[in-house]
Amino acid sequence: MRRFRSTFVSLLVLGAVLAPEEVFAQACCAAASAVTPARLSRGERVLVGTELRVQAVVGSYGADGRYSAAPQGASETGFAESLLIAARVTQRLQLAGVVPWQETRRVTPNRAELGGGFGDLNLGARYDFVQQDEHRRWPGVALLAGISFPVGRPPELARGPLATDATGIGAFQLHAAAALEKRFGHWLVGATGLLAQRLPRSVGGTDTTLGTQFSGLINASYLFLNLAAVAAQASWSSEGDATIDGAKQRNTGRSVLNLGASGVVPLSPRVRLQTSLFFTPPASSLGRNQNAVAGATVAALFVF
Amino acid sequence: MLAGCGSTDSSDGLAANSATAISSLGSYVLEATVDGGAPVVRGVHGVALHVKRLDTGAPAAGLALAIQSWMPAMGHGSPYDGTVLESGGGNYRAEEVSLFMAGTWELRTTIEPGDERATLSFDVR
Repeated sequence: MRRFRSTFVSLLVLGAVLAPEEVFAQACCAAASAVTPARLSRGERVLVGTELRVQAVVGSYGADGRYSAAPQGASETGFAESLLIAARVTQRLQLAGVVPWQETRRVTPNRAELGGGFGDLNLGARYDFVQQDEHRRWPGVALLAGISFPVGRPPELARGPLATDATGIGAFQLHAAAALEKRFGHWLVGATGLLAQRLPRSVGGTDTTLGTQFSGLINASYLFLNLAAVAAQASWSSEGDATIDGAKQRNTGRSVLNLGASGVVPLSPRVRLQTSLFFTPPASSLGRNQNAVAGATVAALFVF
Repeated sequence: MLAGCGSTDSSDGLAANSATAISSLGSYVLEATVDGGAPVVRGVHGVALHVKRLDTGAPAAGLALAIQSWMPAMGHGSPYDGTVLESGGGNYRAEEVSLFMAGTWELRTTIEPGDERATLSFDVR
């Protein structure tokens, strides 16, 4: 839920500067739009957009990796509307931010609740050491960094018993990533590795630090001559055990596999529409201590 | 101190809705049972606690218990922890304990006098 969503938003903001470099105008954005809603292409200086997201929890993975479908009478549906902003500082450096507004509806056998609010604020930067297509043989190489500010409401401060207005994780997150991308004709492939570290926090006298998280993302997209594109992507995220009051907590590490497909359609030289579908494969051993979700996004981006 | 899911209906592989733990200084044995049967489904539940002295096995009455629900894998707690009230014979009860999402939840329990602590774990579906 919240933490998954927060991680996702963190990827999202890095995604704003992670997305593969544009090869054919706006076509870049299809390559990883499940986690990359926006990225400035060459010649673009500013991007403003909005993304709508809906996802449902379809099950969960236990600490032993065993998958359990959501029980009858219980459900969780999440919505997010995010403001996306990106700006180019230099030819190789761009900055991005994501301001999410989130709503969650939870239904349990004995009650239902809907709540929401602003989520954690994310800022990121991308520096392209080697631009895509800059060298014939070498792939594009970029380094990224980001930070998440805990402006969202953490669960323990939620106002309802089902914590549906919990929209943040209550801790700063630092991110660093490296991204590679290479075009082969109409195909564009990319790979990204990301490290995230949540800073310590104290809740009710309990000091907790979540484990370092590693995420790997691979994607492949096909670019059409009309600048539309379709893409498929897979990501694997894994983190170590949490530390609580100075002691490592066994079996608290998390992992999850996500698969997605996406598409982008340019409506004009300044406007592009993106959509994506994503899901967590509902099979044991493909996740740990994590919810399994299925969802979709649609985004409208305006570039200047 | 230690935690372990109990035995209420684990024959089909589902998580139990009861757990036992020995307190941090070894004075008490706590058994907690979450209302609603096994497996524990996410939601707001009542929790029954039975406390015995470890050395004699006698019910431990007159204690002040407090619980904090906690998801160690997520690093957060819950908005509602419920007040623990004694009902006699070593029995205590907390109402409105919010286990609002799937995963492993801990009920971190403190026992006064003595500032003893015990952690009871439940797998919530």
